[in-house]
Amino acid sequence: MFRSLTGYFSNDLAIDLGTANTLIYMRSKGIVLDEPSVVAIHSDFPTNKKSILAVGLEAKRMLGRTPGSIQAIRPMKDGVIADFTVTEQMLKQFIKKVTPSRFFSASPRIVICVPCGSTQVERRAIKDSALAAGARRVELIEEPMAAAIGAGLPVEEPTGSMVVDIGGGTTEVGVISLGGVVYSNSVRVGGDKFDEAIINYIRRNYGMLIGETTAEEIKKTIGSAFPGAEVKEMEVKGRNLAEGIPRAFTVSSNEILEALTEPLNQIVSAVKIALEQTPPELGADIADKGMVLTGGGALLKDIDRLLAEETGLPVIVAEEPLTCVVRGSGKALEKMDKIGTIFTNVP
Amino acid sequence: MESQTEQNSTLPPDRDSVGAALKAAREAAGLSLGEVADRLKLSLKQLEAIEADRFEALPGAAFVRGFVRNYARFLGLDAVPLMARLEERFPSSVKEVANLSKEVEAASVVSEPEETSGLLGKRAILLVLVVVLAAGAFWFARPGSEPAKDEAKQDLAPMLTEQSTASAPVEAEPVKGASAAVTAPEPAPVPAPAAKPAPAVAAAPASAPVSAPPTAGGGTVKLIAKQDAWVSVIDGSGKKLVFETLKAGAAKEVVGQSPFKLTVGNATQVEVSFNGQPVVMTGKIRGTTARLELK
Repeated sequence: MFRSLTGYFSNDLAIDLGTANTLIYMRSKGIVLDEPSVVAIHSDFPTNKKSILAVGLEAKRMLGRTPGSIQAIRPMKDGVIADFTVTEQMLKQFIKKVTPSRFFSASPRIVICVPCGSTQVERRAIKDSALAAGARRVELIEEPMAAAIGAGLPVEEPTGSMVVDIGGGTTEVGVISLGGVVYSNSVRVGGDKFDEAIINYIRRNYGMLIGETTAEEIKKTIGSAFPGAEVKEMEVKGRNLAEGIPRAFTVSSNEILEALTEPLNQIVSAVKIALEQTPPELGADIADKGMVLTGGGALLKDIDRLLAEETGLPVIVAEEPLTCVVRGSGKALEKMDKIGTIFTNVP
Repeated sequence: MESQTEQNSTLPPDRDSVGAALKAAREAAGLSLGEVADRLKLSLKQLEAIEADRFEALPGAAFVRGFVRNYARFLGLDAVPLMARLEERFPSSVKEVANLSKEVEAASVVSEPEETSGLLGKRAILLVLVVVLAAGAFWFARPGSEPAKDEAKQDLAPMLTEQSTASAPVEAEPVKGASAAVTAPEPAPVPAPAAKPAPAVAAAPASAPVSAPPTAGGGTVKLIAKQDAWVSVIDGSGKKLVFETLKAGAAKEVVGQSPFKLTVGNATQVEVSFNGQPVVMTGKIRGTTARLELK
């Protein structure tokens, strides 16, 4: 009785706490927040007291441009919490941002995604963070499951569906059937690794140092995963390592493709391993339907082509891949009272 | 939305054209089904099904949309209008969540009985809470009004007015109404004024000075306000001679039976004289309010 009563007044949330972006879905409202998972911390000099200066978009603009007293950090690394307290603060701020302050606001129930490769300790940390941020009850859902629901796959039917979620920090490969994850695999390669690979490539071949934001820009503009017909070019500014002076130079899409080969191969091999490990009946389903790509990495040009060529299976990119996971968690949240099996348990 | 209504009006040709458009584009590009199948990694059967608009043969909405989009992209077609045409039979999963949330709302308002009772329950709970709070606030604001219902109101009337004048400056609004109602000349039934104190407020101050009878053994109290000040004067018989706010510069003279009980708000700005003698209030001011008795 009491639970249903507080249910009337609470705004239940589904959160995709990602390495790159955090998205929040509010029950019967839709996606209410989509901001980078970045926190700017100001530390007072003599007292060494730390306070949150900004979160989200505002903090992301500070990334790499901060003076000594300000630290812009991404508290999530490789899909898991690297800095517990900062993550907790970030969650708190985000939740506060989306929950209208009302007189009768009960604390919300929260569905939150975890990478399937995360350990029990990491899951516990995420759950505790959400609880400390003011949740009444926290349910965890594995990312491949959420991504599959969000992509509109028939997760509850007795047919295998394969989903590849390429996020900022991790790539999750999951085979789902009958509302459960049959096989899942997670490699710590994602958008961040792509950026890193671009930075390294440009340092090696051009002797230029560029920042993460620039690398991301390059990836989004001319990055591709499969050699295409047209070659695109882009002018980039960075610091010349030999001269120590900022200079502009031009990179082409073929060079970026070369730079991305290494992390892309890791994703391809993760997918191949998943296919090898899938039970034959489900494998047959997958051969028929192919796999679905979700997550920000799916936006990398021709990544579906690469996977299709490598596996010989049809590959489709989900619609709005960036919001797939949070939409899936949202759908799980809406049906939370009716279906309980899709959530994972933490001791 | 627009494209959907447009599509509804010209339904039969448009519906055909998802597969037909793809087929036409493929033929225009001079590609065979086999080449497309090789590139998209789809089986020939699936491709034929797409071109014939037999989407039921494909694994599901998400895949139908995905395959058609891939095919269109490969042929260099704009996938957006094709997606719009598919929307009706194979809704996008993106909209599904939006629809889901709308459904929940709609269901709670209209159809599903369980959900309806939920929303009604929510409103009922809010209503009950508001009523309880309001009742509580009302009861606390008028501590003296409860006994009046049980006991003979005439006996209690002086006591009531005394109490209420004592606390008047602090909580002027509700008390003013209540006490005015009790001391009103016509003995009105108590519950009625108690339920709606507001109208009584307007009438009471006007009638009070008029009803004060000039008696012998009494005296005259004169009040001159330099600034706005709330003043009440009650004579020995319990009648309210003054019970109002004096505007700046206003003067008031009342005659009644002594002893007079005075409550003067903003007391430093009010000059009081009793039977022609100025009254010094300095020792009796608490905060800004002075309470005194004149004999």
